Amino acid sequence: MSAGIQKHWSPTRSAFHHLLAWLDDGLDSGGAKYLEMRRRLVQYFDRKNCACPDDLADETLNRVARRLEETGGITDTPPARYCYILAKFVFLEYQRGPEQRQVSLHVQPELGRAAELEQNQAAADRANRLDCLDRCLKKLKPEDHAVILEYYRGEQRVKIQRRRDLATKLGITLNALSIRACRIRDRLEECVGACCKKI
Amino acid sequence: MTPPENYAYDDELLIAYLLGAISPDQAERLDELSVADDDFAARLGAVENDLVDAYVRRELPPDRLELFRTAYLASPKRREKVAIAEALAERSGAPPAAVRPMIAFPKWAFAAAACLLASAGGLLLFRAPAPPSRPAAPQSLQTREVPAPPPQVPSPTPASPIAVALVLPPQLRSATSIPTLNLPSATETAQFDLEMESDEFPAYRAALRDPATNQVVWRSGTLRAQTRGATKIVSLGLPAPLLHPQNYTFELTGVTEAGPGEFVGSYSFRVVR
Repeated sequence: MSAGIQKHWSPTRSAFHHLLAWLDDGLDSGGAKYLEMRRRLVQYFDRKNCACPDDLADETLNRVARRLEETGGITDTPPARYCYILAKFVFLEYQRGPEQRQVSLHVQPELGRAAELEQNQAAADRANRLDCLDRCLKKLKPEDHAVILEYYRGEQRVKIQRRRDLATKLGITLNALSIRACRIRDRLEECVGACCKKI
Repeated sequence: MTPPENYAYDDELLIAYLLGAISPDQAERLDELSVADDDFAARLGAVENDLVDAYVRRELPPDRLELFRTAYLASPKRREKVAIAEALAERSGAPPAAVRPMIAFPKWAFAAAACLLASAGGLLLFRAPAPPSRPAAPQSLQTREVPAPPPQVPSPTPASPIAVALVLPPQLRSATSIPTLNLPSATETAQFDLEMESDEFPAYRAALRDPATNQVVWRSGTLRAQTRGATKIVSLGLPAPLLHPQNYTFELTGVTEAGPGEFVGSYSFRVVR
């Protein structure tokens, strides 16, 4: 496996459905809970600077599915916390991997600057990204489209005041607005990422 | 559950967490919350978006900016998030100056380097132009002055060597010596062109390995192959201060839509200062 850890098992169709139902915890989310958990796990491994956070997230969920198959159910720990516990084990296993893929802390500063350089060199990608963003914005519901542009408009104090005004207009708290904007943005980022890969 | 308006989590702590500036114990606790707690995960996402936007709009204070550059931008995924934030800022009506690329590395320098590489095909050094009052540095066989940039393009450090470039051929079993990169101390950027025997993948990734420790010390984002004459190359740049006087190896991997692809080749070189 590319992430440098042993991939033991892949879930069967029924095991996967069992996993979806267990994550839903009694409420059918139509797969939304699974996608949200996968997203959180990817971000967890990414914050740990793992080379293949997607692979490690999938491996974690595979192990959860396997455990569910073996035991018939996991009832003593809430689903999200159980996923974290297994993710931690996957991360520790990854760290012990033969290639020591995690970059040591002392070189990370240089790595960050390299990132900036790459950004600058990717000027051509920028136009594609803008094009993709326009396409993805068009796919949003009109009300989400308006929220996402209004929420991120303006700078500093102006932006804060705009957000207050928007929350008042929508009849929700500022915190609820921030979470709503964040979810729209997550979808937008996913859409733009997929679009850019196609170009 | 919706947290109260004054938020259950301290945004400053969340920012420090995102920037890798908290203790391992605190980080582990927040790691758990980021996966297992719905409210925390939602708030963390919102704070992260605002942090990225502040970077894009140049609103970060210097200490936070440095951490953002060194810790947050260490991951290709997070760099992509920043790139999308730049696009979103543009579409949200941010002033154009606020969303220009994050560093002012003059494009003419890359263009000049490409020209020099095309003509010489080997090790080359190039310098930003000296200011008019300063005499030009003497040229050598491997060192060329880059033509003066157009007047409208600012040069951040006009008198310093800003970049070196090296073309690396695929490593052959029969090779008895490896290319050498002569790196002046003030150089900011090392540019590499990795030559390939064929271009079989839609994208590539490169990792720089220190053979002495077998540790990967730098990773690229996604790279595309380019054609230079009859040769396929993958170009990449990394900060010169990362490189110490020793041997290194680039490992190039082909990436497919289905995920990580195959090992394409390795490229060894030696750095001297």
